[in-house]
Amino acid sequence: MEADRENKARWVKATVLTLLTASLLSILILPLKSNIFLVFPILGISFNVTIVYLIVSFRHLDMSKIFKNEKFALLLLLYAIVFSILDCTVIVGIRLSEDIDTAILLNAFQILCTSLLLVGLLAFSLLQPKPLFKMNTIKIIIFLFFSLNVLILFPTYLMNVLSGGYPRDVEKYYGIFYELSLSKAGFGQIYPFVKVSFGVLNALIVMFLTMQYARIKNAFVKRHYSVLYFGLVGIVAFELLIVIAVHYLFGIKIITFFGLVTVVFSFAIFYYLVRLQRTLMEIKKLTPQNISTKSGEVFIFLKDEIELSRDKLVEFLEKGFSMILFSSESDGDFFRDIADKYRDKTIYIRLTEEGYTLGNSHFASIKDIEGLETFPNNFNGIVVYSDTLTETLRFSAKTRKELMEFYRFLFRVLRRGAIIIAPVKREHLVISKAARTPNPVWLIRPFIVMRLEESMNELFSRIEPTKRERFISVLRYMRKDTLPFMGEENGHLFFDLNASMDRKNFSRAIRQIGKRLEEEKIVSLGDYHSIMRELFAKYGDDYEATVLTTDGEIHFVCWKNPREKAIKMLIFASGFRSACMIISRTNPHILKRKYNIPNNIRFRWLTSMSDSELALIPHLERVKKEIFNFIKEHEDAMIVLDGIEYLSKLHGFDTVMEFLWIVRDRLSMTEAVLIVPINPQIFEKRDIEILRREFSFIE
Amino acid sequence: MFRDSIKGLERIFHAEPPQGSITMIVGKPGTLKSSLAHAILSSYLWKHKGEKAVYITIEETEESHIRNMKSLGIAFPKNQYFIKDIASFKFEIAPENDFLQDDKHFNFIMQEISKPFGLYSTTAEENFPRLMALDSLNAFQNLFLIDARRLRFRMQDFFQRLRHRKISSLIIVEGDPEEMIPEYFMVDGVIEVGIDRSHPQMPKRYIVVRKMRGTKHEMAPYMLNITENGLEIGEPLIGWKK
Repeated sequence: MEADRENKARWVKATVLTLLTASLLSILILPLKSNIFLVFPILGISFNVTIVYLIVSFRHLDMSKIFKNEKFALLLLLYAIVFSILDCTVIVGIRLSEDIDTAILLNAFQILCTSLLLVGLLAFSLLQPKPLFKMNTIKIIIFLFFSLNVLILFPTYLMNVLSGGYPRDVEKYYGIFYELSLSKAGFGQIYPFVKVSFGVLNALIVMFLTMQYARIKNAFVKRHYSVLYFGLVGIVAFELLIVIAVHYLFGIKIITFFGLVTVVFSFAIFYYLVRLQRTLMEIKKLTPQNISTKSGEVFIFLKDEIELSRDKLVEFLEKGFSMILFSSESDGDFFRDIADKYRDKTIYIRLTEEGYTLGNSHFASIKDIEGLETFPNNFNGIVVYSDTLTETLRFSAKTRKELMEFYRFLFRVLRRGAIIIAPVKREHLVISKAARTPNPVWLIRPFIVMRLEESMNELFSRIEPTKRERFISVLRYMRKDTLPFMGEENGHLFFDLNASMDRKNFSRAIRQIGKRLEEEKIVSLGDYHSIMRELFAKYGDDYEATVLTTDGEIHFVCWKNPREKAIKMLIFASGFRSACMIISRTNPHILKRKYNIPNNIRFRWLTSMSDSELALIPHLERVKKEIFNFIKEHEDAMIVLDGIEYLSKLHGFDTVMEFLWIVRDRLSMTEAVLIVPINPQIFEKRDIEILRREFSFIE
Repeated sequence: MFRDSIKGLERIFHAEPPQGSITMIVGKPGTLKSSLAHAILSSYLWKHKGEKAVYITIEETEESHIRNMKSLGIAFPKNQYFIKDIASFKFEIAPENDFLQDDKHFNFIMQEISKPFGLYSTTAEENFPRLMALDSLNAFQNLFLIDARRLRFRMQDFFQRLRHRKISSLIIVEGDPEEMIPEYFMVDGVIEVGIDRSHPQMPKRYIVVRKMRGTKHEMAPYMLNITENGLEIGEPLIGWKK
C-alpha cells in the first residue's frame, strides 16, 4: 500500500513537472517567435526532463523488477512515440521557421537531452546489482539494435543538420556549430561511410536474428518472438526501401524513418512484456486455499526464464505454500538455501546418477522414498528443477521404468490439486491452446509416448503367448500411420520418445489398436477395453472420458448408475476440455453436493420454474439453442444431457430423435461431445435399437 | 420491412419482399396476430426514422391497442406510427346501424382509411406513410352488408391501389389457416401464427411463412417468443406436425 501510494505520488509529480517545464519554455520562447512547430521541441524537452526525473526517483529499485513492470514498458513506449514525432516535425519546423537560431538551439538542446537520457538509461541498467538482461540472445540483440539505432541516429542527425542538409548558407546560420562541425574536416567524405556502415550493421543484425529465429522449434516461444522478429525485419526493410527510393527519386537523404523503427520496437517489447506479465499474474492468483479446487496446474518456465521461475517459487513459499523440491546438483546451492530458509515448508530431494537423495538417505526409485505418498495431503506443489524432466531423470533413474514411476507420482499429486513448477527444454514442450487450464500430463510428449509403451507392454503380457507375435506385427503395421516408431527387445516394446503424439492422437491410437486386435482375433474388444480401463485407472484416468468419447459425437452412457458415470466423465474431462456443462432434470444444487462438482462446470436446470436463474424451459428448441451457443463459444466442450427420459415423455420419442439428429449434425462440425446417460429399461425396445443404430453407446 | 424489424425475422426471410407487397397474417384467436403486426411495424420504424405507418383498427380502440402492446414491451415511435380507429368515425356516419349498407358508406370509409396514403385522390401528401396494417379483414368485411362478390371486388381494387402506391401492407385475418379463403389469392404473402399444443404442458407459439411472392424464405415453423424486448423469433420448431 505504501509502495503504491509512493508510486502514485511519483507519477503525479512527473506529470506536473512535464506541464511546468512546457509552460516555462513556452513563456520564454514563444514570445520570441510564435511558430506552431516550436511546440514540438518544447514538449520533447519537457518530456525528456520528466524522464530524467523518473529515472532518478526510481534509482533505488531493482531495474530487473522495473523492466518486468508494465509501467516501465509504457514509459519506453511513450518516449519512443514522442521522440519519433519530434524527430519528424522538428525538421519541418526548422524549415518553416523564420527564426532559425531559436529553432536550432532548441533542436540541439533536445538532441543533447535525449542523448544524455539514453546514455544514462544504459549506464543505470548496467550498474544494477543483478544483470538486467538475463535473457536469451534474441532479446539482447533486439535491445542492442534499439540502442545502436538511436545512439548512432543522433550524431548522424546532428551532422546532417550541420553539414548542409538544409537549403541555407551554413556559415551564416550555424555560426559556432559550423566551426565545431565535421564539415570543415571534410565531413562530406565521412557521412556516406557512416551511413553505409550503419546499414551494413543493421543487415548483419537482421541476418543473425534470422538464424536465431529459425532455430526456435517450440511453437509457444516462436509465437512470442514472431512479433519481435517480423516487426524488426519488416520495418528495417520498409525503412531501407523508403530511404533508397527517396534518395534516388528526389536526391534527398533522410534518416528520420528510424523513428518508426523505434516506435515499432517499443510496441513489440511492450507486447511481449504484457504477455509475460499476464502469465505471471495468473500464478499470483493462487493461494494454498484455492489451489485444491483445481485439478492441478503445471507452470512451465522456459530454460531461459530460470530467474523468473525461482522468483515464483519464492513467491509461493512466502504465501505459505509447501513444496517438494527436486533438482540435480547444478542447481543444488539455490535449493539448499531455499530448503534452509523455508525448513517447515520444503522437502529437498536431489537427483543423482544413482537415484534420489533425501538428506543422508539414497533411494533407487521414488517408490522407495518413505512418506512421500502421504505428502500429497500435506503439500501444495512440486518443483522439478533439472536440465529437463526427461534427461536428468533418465540419467539418474537409469531405466525408462523409473521415469514412468516418477511421472505417475507427478500425475497423482496433480490429480489432488498440486501445482508443478518446471523449467524444461523447448523441444520437449507441447503446449496446446493457451487459453485453458492444461492437464499437464498431456503436455509432456515423452510421457504420452511412454504411457502408450506401458499400455502395450501390459497388454502384451496378458495375451496368450501364441498370439504375441501377431500382436507385434499388428503394431508394426500400424506404425506407418498411427503409432510412433516402435522397437522391440526381448519381448519388450519401445516407442520413440521424441515421436509426435498428443492427447488426441494417443486416444485415437488406443481405439484403433483395439479395433485392429479384434479384427485379427488376437483379443476381443471387450477384453481389450477392460485391460485398458484397468491400466488407465492406475493413473486415475477415466478411460471412457479419455479414449471412448470421440469428438463431434453423441455418446449414450449405459452404466449401472449412468448419471453418476456421465458426471464423473465430465469432471475428469474438465481438466483438458475448455469448458463443460450439465443440463439436467435435477436441481443443480443437489447435483453439486452429491457429486462434488467443481465450480468451473456450467449448469442448466430443465424445469418450467422460471424463477431460478439456471432454469431452462424444456422446449427442445431452447435446449438445442443452449447447446449450440455453448459449443459455439467452446468448440471442444463436453456437455452432459441428463434427462433424456423426461424429454421423451414430454415431447415424444420421435421428436427427441429429430432433436438428437440436429444436435449431432452440429456437433460433427466441432470437437465437442454430448454425453447422454440412459437407462435402457425405461424405453421401448424398438426405441433403444434405433438409438444404438444411430449413436455410440458406452457400456 | 421484415428483415429489418423484429429480431430473428431475417432468418425466415432471406430477402426482403418488394415494396408494396400485401401480406396476410392469419391465425386463430389469441395467436398474437395484432401484436406481430404492431411489432413488425414499430421495430421497423424505430430503425428508419423517416418512415411512417398507419395501423387501421376496426374493432379495438386505439387506447386498447396501446395498452396491450405496452404489456408486451412494444413501444410505438411518436410522429411515425398512427393508429386509425374506424369505430370512432363509423359511429358518425351510421350511429344506429351496425352495418353500413350502401356504397356511399363504403366509399366514405375507404376514403377515410386511404386519406394518409392518397389512394383515391389525384394529389398525394408529401411523405405519406408507406406501411399499413389493417386489423382485421374479417371485421372490415363484417362492417358492410354488401354483396360478398362486390365486396371482394372492391377489396381487390383497394389492394391494387396499395400496390400501385407501393405501400407495404399487413392484413390481419382471423381464422383457421388451413381453411382456404379467396383473399389468399389476392395477396402476395401469407404468414401463419399459431400455438402448437401437441404437448399441453408445453404450448409453443409459432410463426410460419406459407407464401411470399418473389422472396426466398424458410418454409419451416419458428418459435415466436415474447421477451422483455417485445416479440422475437426463436429456433425452428422440432417435431412440428401439420
